Amino acid sequence: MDGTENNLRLFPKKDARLYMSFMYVTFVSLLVGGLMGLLQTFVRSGRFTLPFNINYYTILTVHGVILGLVLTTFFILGFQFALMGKTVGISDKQRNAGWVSFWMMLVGTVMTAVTILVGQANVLYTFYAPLAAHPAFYIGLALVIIGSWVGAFTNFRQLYVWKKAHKGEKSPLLAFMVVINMLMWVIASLGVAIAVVVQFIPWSLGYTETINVLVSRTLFWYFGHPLVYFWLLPAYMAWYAIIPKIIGGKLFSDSLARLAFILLLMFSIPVGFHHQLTEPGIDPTWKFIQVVLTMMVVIPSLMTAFSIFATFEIAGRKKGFSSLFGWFKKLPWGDVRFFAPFVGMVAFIPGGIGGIINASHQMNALVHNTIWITGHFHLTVATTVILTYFGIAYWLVPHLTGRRLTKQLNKLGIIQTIIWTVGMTIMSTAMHIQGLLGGPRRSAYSEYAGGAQVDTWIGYQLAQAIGGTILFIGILLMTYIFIKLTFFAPRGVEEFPIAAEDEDAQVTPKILENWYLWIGITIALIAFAYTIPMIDIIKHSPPGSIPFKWPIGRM
Amino acid sequence: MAKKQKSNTVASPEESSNLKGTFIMVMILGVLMVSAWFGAYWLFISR
Repeated sequence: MDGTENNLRLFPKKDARLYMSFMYVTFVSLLVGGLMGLLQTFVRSGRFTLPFNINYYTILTVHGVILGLVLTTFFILGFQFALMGKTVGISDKQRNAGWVSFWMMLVGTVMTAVTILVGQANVLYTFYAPLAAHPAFYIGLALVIIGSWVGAFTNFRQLYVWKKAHKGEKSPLLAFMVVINMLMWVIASLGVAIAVVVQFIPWSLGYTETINVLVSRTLFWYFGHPLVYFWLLPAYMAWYAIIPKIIGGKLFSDSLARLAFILLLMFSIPVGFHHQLTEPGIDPTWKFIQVVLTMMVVIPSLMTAFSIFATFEIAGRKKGFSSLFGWFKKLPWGDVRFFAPFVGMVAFIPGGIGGIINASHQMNALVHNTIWITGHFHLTVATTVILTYFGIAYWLVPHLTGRRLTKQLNKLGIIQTIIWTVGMTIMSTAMHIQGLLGGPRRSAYSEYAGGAQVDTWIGYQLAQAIGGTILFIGILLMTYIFIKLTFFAPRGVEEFPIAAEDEDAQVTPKILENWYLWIGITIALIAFAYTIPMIDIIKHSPPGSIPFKWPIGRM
Repeated sequence: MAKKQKSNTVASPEESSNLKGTFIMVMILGVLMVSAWFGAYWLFISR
């Protein structure tokens, strides 16, 4: 069965409504967060000051929280719920749990966003202690996380129920991938949940006087690195199992895809120290061990690259192209469902390479806390991930609303992708170069009392403002496309493109679905990488810190 | 004599599983990774 019939069958309205709700929040977040990003680049150009006494760190925090945490989490949950609904189905009870997840996350988001907007949480999205925000900021964040856990356990239940009804069958690839991603998310977000609930909330409420800064930062990065994989894995889901269908091909290898996801589960979490390589108070040996574990992620990333190239080549050759790269020409360049994710894939080449440099222990000193890092994650999350999400939205939104991606909207999508590429190339390249010249990240505009090195930065900051403006035009266009696809595009059926396996594909080994084994190894690796250094950190901590509302925490 | 295969005709299974292009692409990727890393390493050492 190639699944075409199922791909064309629309969801029942009550299911589609749940999945679409997540999409609404996603695109509102895009607009709000994107506007903040534009303002930041303007401020840093040195030619613009924010009106009404708005604090730079307020807009910086909104940008990071709304795009990094809210947009991504809502899109991921909505997309993954749709994938589960399509592959293993959803019951009434599970749908209700989905709504509980949505509303908890939304209430948490609104609480957090309002607290930031009124200037009570200028703590950036990393909310490093001892900067202190209003308790509502942390409580809102906790709600978002707990809401997402409700979604995760619903997804686990969906696959469990399906497996019980299909004894001996392997789970659908996309459902397997969703469960891996949510497992990783639950295991990882436990760290930040402990930091928020045990450390930050009592401390910000005044119940405890001091906070152990290093423990809070370590718990944050225990979560912070898998967070980036939580963003990336849904993009990988599309690359492995959706894009092959769009280009008229088949799944390259079900086993390879599953193995890559398992490796990503195992090696995404015990690696947080590579964000803390300049942190005093962590034994360098353990930093080194986590650096080695970080480099292990290169393996599933390269497996993914190989698999994608192979999918393209096989699809092209099946169409009869025999020259070395002839198959490349045959890719559907005019189809935005392919084109946008493809640009995302290309951006992941410099993005991934930059990541290896960042995580290379001593070499991290070259880029640490410079705007190179900002340039790096604008390539990974703000290009690779977001363009793939857009690529998904072009078919998912009309599939959910019972409309069609028209030729005109497809063309607008292509233009949107080009605008994004141009804007991001200018902005991210300028950030990378300025970072290598020592330009700091996170800070508002400053001339740092002058100096030859500082003088080299301003040109790049102007370039970032130009790139940021182009990107914001891209955001406006994307918002327009979303509104059209949701409310105005002609009625019809847009395909939910899930690729089928080749008829003569090899059987997927059963061991790949041995959850006890993979979760066991994951937990063992985490225990290995964190137990001793964590005991060390707690035992040798300096005295904790009182909350600092100044200079930027709270107005 | 067998004619050279034209575009848009269905390829044989051997041809469709030819992954020479993929091999070259992943090698290029590897070269890019290594050269960028050594570029950053050179900068690190020279400072």
